[in-house]
Amino acid sequence: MDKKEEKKAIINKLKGLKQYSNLKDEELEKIAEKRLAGKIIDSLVFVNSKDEKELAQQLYEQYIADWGELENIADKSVLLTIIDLEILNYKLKKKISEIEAQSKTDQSSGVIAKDLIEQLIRNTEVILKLKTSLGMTKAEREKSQSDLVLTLETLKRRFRDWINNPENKANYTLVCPHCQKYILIRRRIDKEKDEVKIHPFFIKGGLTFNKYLFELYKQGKITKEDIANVLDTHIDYVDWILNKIND
Amino acid sequence: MTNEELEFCELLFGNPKAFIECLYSERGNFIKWLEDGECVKVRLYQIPMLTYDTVLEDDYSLSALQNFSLRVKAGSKIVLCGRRIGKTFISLVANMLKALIVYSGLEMSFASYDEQHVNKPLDQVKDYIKFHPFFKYFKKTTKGHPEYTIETLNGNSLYGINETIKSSDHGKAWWGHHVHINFQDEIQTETEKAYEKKVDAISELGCIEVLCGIPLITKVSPLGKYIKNNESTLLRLPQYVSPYWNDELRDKRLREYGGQQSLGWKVNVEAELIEDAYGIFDMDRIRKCYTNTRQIRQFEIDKTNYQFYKSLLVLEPILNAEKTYLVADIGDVSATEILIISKVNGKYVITHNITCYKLSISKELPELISYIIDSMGINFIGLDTTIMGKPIYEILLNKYKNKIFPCYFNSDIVVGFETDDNGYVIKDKSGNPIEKKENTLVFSVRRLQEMFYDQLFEIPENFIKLDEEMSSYYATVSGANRLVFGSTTTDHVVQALEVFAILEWLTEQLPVQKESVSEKPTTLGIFSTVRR
Repeated sequence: MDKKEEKKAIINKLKGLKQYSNLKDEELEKIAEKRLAGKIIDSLVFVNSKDEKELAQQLYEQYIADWGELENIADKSVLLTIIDLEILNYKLKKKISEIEAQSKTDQSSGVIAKDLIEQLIRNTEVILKLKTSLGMTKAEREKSQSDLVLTLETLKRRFRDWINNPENKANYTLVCPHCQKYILIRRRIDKEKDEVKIHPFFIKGGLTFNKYLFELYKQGKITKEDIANVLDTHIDYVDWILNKIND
Repeated sequence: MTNEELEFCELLFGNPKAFIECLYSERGNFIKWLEDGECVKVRLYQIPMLTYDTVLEDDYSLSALQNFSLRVKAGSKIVLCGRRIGKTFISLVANMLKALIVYSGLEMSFASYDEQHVNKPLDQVKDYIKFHPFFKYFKKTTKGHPEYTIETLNGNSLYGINETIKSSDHGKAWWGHHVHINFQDEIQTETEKAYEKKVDAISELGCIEVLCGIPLITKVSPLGKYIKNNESTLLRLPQYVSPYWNDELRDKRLREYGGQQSLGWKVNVEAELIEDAYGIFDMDRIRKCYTNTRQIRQFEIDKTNYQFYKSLLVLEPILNAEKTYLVADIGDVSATEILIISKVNGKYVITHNITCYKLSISKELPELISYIIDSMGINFIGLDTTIMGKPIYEILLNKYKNKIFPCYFNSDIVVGFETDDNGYVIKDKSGNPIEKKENTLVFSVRRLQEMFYDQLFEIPENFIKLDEEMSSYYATVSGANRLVFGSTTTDHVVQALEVFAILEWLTEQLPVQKESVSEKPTTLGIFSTVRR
């Protein structure tokens, strides 16, 4: 069955299931594609029997659940090689245990071949190397955790510096979830509770500006340049706001 | 994580400004974040661009729906601002990253009108999630173009939605989604069709919407509806607000957009709300003229490569063309667009597009145009002579006397002849038919519409510039009840096509009309029956 037919078969199967009966064709197609993408059996070499197929699929899903989806083709291909080698290991182990079981009942049966053991060891080493390359080993995990500690420490330090900046320490902006107006919370060290104030950014018809600054300008106490400097903007913006207020 | 660390995270995640200023290092420089490199600083005017839904704690006495409704109110925003003031980064990229980290188990979307506009912001988000020393710990999967999917370990998924406004099935990509938060760029381009599909794609708890764009409300856009229903969440800022705005930049923008009265200046710089604008061209019908069997040949000539133009331009006469036209919109500091259009099997095929920058009007441009005319065996030439093209026209007039036509968009043009109630042409006392005139620009636009809608054009699909310019060409009605044309981007290709509409009219249609009028009338005694 080619991929197209397989996809069609999955869609037909999904259509028959109650939980998917309300979905549109496009949605079913997406689900089918996802399922197809998760099927890895065709890409493996050592998988033959039904139980090997099931084991390979289980292993793949377990790796994805533990380590997350691998986004680049190179990593995906490494993971498939690991699974292939795991299946080979499974086969080798099965063979060894069969020989061992036979030798218990039948003394005349052969001993476990040295080649078989060596192959198993070599195979396990290769799997380990590949897992290390994907960062799946304990050592890699520990390195990642020490990186996480470093990251958290950096973040803490950055936040400490940020909050100790007087500009950030005293003010906190948010939007009221009821009236959608901006609120300014002012922290005062001489008072027990924070002060909740109407935000000086006056927002009306989509315009935002500091209305007190513009009142001072209207009273002739400051110039347009002063406003532009305070707001770290250009004088054209001050003119734009003044035009809008006067409209 | 210790309790202390959790408390710290709560403090940080509850403060959008702190979150950005402590975490967002410049893109491509993530590793420097660990080495105390500079972080992004939220400018004063950008504070209202942040979303404050993440500040709220759930109230356990309220239902999930009630709690989320409060978040919708605190987090929804319509940001309609001038260009280049950081609205895409702060309103979209920064808010998206914050939502991905702070929330858990939510479905989010980032939508825009085409692939390019979906890719750019989402590539930034993807880079942060993949490579930033902090954000990478939240990464589960990141898939790029064409179906952007970013999943975090705390159960959030962010999907890229291309509303495919350029296709016939707008908003198809919304199918199958039920989003809790929608971030959207270039909201002014959303169509009613796409909007209808989006309405069905929101979660049952509601949807926090962060909508960004320029303040151009067209008759077919649902943006007007958004503003009407959420006026208190609207933020409008001009480009002047940026600390980098200066006199030099102002002059540059004025030249780019063609003055303070132009639509481009009003919406892109001044963030002026333009309502009831309407797109001049029905893009669905225009796109029916597109063909993938031809490729357009595009060249760019500027002062650095001008001396090699003969080797750069690959020009050969179109063998099966009945006629070949050259039309140009002449710019001084802005671009000059030259189009070569051939009439093949009754259709006008755009074959070449030559864009010139900063070539001298007295020497270089006339020389280049002359070379093209001779190499291509051009039959008719049309130049926009409204302002800058006049000197070029006069230089070329001597050489191509019967071939070259001027086009003055600020004057009137003969569009036919006056007729009486019975359809007969009215003549003056000397027996000359009375001409009917119309403004050249208005007529050229109307003529262009007719030609496109009758599918008289054949446009190579790879002529993307044409698609962009035609879909950004708008008209508004001024106070004096006059049509004012304008574009939110550049419009040089459209203007070159307007010149072509006039050239085609003067060389193909008007002579036929004149001929029919000058035909000898059939005399029936004292009555004449001049045919229309």
